[in-house]
Formats: sequence, structure tokens, C-alpha cells
Amino acid sequence: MAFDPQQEDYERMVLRFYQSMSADEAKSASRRFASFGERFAHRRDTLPQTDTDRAFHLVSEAAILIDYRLPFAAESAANSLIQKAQKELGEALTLDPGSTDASRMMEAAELSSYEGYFRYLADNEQKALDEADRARARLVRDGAPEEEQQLAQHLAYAPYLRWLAAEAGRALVCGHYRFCLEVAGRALALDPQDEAGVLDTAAYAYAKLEDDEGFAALKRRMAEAGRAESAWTRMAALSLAFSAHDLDRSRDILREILASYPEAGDILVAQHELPDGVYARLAVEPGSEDELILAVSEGAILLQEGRDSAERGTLSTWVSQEVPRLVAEGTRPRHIGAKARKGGLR
Amino acid sequence: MNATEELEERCALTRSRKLGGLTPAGFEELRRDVHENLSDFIKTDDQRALNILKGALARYNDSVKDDDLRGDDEFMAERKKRLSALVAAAQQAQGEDPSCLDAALIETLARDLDPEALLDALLRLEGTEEKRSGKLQELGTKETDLWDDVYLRPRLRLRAATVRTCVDTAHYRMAASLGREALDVAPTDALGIRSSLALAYARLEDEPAFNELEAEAGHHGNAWWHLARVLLLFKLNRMPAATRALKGYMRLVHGGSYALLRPVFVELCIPDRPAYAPNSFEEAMLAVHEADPIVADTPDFINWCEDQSWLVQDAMKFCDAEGLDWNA
Repeated sequence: MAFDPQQEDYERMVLRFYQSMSADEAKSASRRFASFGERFAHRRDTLPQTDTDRAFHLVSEAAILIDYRLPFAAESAANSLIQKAQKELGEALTLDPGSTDASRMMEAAELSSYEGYFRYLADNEQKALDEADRARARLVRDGAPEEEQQLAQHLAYAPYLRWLAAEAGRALVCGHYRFCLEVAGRALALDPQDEAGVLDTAAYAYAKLEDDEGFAALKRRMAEAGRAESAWTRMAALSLAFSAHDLDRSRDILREILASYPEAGDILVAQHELPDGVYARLAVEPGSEDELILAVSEGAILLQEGRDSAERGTLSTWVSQEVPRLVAEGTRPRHIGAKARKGGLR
Repeated sequence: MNATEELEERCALTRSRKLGGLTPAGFEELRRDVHENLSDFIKTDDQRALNILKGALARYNDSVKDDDLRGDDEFMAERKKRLSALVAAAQQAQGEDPSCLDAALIETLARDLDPEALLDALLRLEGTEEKRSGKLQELGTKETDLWDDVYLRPRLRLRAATVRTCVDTAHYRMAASLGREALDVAPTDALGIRSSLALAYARLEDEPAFNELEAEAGHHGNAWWHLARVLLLFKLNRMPAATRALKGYMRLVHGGSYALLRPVFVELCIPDRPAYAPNSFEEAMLAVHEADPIVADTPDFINWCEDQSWLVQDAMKFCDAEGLDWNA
């Protein structure tokens, strides 16, 4: 559940290429597409495109720089990466002043305060929707094949969905939990398959509101959409159990997490906080180490609440103390088993 | 906790049972007699235990009063000393009366545990008491308030401490349900459990529950309520209403603006909150302290408060008038 900027760039160019064909040409579309991949990769300028497409290409490049390269860049390289990305976003806005992605990412980079960015997103949400509606009018052709219409619709509204996902995420961080759920609801109404991943954000809002029923409904919805439990829903369940002071259940959930994700013990003890994706939440493989790292990072909001002498938050402290115990407990039976074999059971 | 008054009440009740058939006026006279010659009336284990606590709490509170005059090191040393003294006295009281719940509660609180460990300890105490004398919510009757029975007040004090600790450690629904049980049997709420619940409902952004509780309280509000309302509306992103509520908090709570923008260390409440005047500066400092985990969970709440120039001006004015230090 995430947006891949490069894939979206590709899809936009595919749609434009297809739509620029005459009716006759479209009949032999598959033959014409044979060279598309090579032209997209190496001779992009030979493909039909508008300023909006060029702007999005710059957005996708900036997204890769900020979200995927900056976190791993050496400190000395960081500044030039940021400058390059900002220049690209600036150019994108010159080409397409209506680019909600570019203006949103520029604002996020300014990052005056959590609340300031949240308020910007909340105050300009309608503009983002208007822009998406205009994009739809440009991209969706009446009478076009179903597949083309779906792709056009998707590309028109993807920036708005990213907007809503960012707004829900910021609302969560700022402590506006019900507002977060309202925004997530608007995203899901438009995107029932939840490409934007707002269900995971909403899971945290339900955990913060200690709303077991809301969380159960969310999990049913995920199951209906054919989605498995995510690292977010597991962390939310952990938080809910701990809030209710059900430590046995909290331990069971921790055991599940430890059994489900590689390196989970280290991740849960370290509780690293990463910068949030500026374009969108980073794309990670379900069930992967990266998924848990991301959910734990965003889970700071669940972990770091309540007074404790370590000043980490009650759940954070409990998790960091409990995980080593559970890891030891998990390895013990194997150890005993090995000894028993050595003892000559065979 | 007014240990003197409760001890006198216990002594008078014991003597009155012995004498039998006292008229209300006769009981009042006995009450005066007990007040003037308390030591003559202390006969039972529970009274001896409470008498020990009475002295220990008085010494503890006297020491707290002088904290402002102490330097950091001296304060830390004195604090450690007075808490150990309280633990020792509470143990001594339990030696007189092993079932003395106030002594067990005071000992638990004076150990100055990490809040989550304190919550565990308080819940264990709740469990022990439940086994010994029944569930809190089953002790009262519809017609009476549990608080009116001086022998049941320790149970309410324990519950109020548990609820405060739940709020401190971010177990908000738990705070609400444990608090609700107590309010159902002791609606006069002498210990201010509703104030803790106001904070919990604000944090849970549960406006219907907040309003219902407020209607039930039917009072003119205190620092917790005024502050909780600002937090609730801010969290619900109803900014004009939140601004109005912040103005209300500033107007109604003496020094509230200063307490909010310049929070200070607040000493543990043992065994319950001190009897501050509603909307006083002392109450504001305590309410801000208790709300701190919720404020911290709302990262730009204080920044927003600081953006309201009228609030900052009011706080600085209070600071000047009281001879406090703005940059301390």
C-alpha cells in the first residue's frame, strides 16, 4: 500500500502515449508500444507529453531524492540533494502551477512546525480536490475503454489521495485523532482498496482513542479488502492491549510480532524514528523488516506517551524491557531441545 | 486528607456506639469533647494507626511548604528524607493495624515509584481490598454517598490515586471506567475524580462523555476543567472555540496563564490532592502538572498557546505582580 513515484511517472506517459494515438493507430497499439519502454528510459523527449507530465517527472525525481536517497546519504551530500530536489520542485511548479504534489512537498520541506504543516494541508484540502477534478476532466475521455478510464481516473486522483494521506498522518502526529479518522474516511471513500495506506494511519488513531470497536471494524474492513494484518495493525493492537493494562495480551502480541518480522527484536528495542516520506509513505514489502521499521517509527506516537522516569513513555519503556525477555524465552526451548539430543535421545 | 477530622470522627463513633442512643445534639457534644481531648479517646488499633499517620502527614506537609526556600541539592536531600520518614510511619501504622488501607496507600505513594510500577502496586492494593471487603461499586447504597462513611473513605482515596495514576501513565479508558465506578457510589466526589476524568475525556476527544460529566458535576469548574476544555477543543481542531476556551481558562483560573506557560515541578499527592481553593494558582500548577502527558502528546499545543499574545501578556503580568521569575 504505497505510491511508487517512478511507476506513476511511467503510467502517466503510457496514458499520454495511448491517448495521443489516432483511432487507426490504436488498433495496432501493442505493436506501437513495443519501443515504448526503451524510449521512456532513454529518449523520453521523443514521447508525447505536456507540461503537466514534465512537471510530474520532476516531482518523481525529487521524491526519489528526498524520500529514498536522503535518509542514506552522507551528511556532506545531504545539502546538495535537498537543493537539487527543491530546484526540481520549483521547476515542476513553473511548468504546472496546479501540481499539488510539488506544492505540498515544498511546504513539507519548509516544515515550520508540525501544526503549521497540518494546518496547511487541512486548509488547502479543497484546492487539492479541485485540482484532481480538473485533472480528471483532462485525462478521462468519454467512451474510452474501461482500462484507460480506470488508469486516467487513478492518475487524476493519486495526488489528492497522497494529500489526504499526508493530512491524516499529520493530524495523527499533532494529536487531532478524530480529525485524522475523518480525513482517512474521505480517502477511503474515493479509494476503497486503500492504495494510500490510510487504514494503517487510522489504526493508530483508533489506538490513541483507545477505541476497540473502531479498531475491530477497521480490521474487518482490511480483511474484506483481502489485506493481511500489517505491522501497523499489530502495533495498534499492542497499544490497545497495553492501554487496557492487559499485559498478558500485550506479551502475546509482542510474541506475534517477534515471530512475524525479521530482526523484530532489535527493531522493537531500538525504536528508531525516521523522517516521514515527503512524497508519500515509503513503499515497503509486506511482512518485511522495513515494514516493521516504518511502523515502529510512526508508532512513536503510541510508544512515547505517559510519564515515566526514563522519559521515554510508558509503552516504549515496557516494550524495550519486555522484548529481550521474550526473545530469551523464545530461544530457550530450542536450546533445551539441542541439549536433549546431545544427551543421547537418538 | 484531613486525618485529624477523620480520626476524631472515628473516635466519636466508637464512643457513641459504646454509650448508645445518643441524640444528634448529644453526638455533636461528644464530637466537641473528642476534638478538645483527642488523645483520651484513642482506644482501638485503627485509631492508633490513623493517629500515627496524622502526625506523619503533618510533618510531611510542613516540609513540603518550605521547598521554595531550598536549593536544588538541599531539596533533593530533604525530599528523600521526608518520603522515607513517611514510609517508616506508614509501616509503623500497619504494625498497629495491619488492615489500615490509608497506611498501605501512603506507603505505596511515598515510595516514589515509577508511575507504571505505581499503577501495578495500586491495582494490587485494589485487588487485596476487594477480596477483604468487596468491590467498591457494591459497598454503597443508592441513598448514601460512600464518602459519608468515614471507614470507607480509604477505599475512595485508593481509587482516586489509581485514577490519577492511570491518567499519568496514559491508560485513559481505564481511568474513565475506574473513576466511573467510584462516582456511581460517591457522587459528591470529595476527591475530585471528575477532574481526572475531564482530562481523560479531553485526551480521548470524547466530547459527549466530557459534556455529560460536566452536566453531572454541575459546579462552576476548576483549573482541570477549564484546561481540559481547551485541550479537547484544540484536539478536535475547533480553533475558534479552543481560543475562546483558552480565554476562559485565563480569566477564571488565577495565574492560569503563567502556570501553563511556565510549568513547575509539583510534589506527589500523598495520599490525595491538597485542598487548594478552586481556580487558585496552586490548583492551576497541579492541574497543568497532571495534564502534562496529554499536553506532550499534542506537540504544538503549547506553541499555539504561546502564539496568543494576550495569554503571554497576562502570564507576564502575573509573573511581575507575584515577583516570580519569567526566565527561571
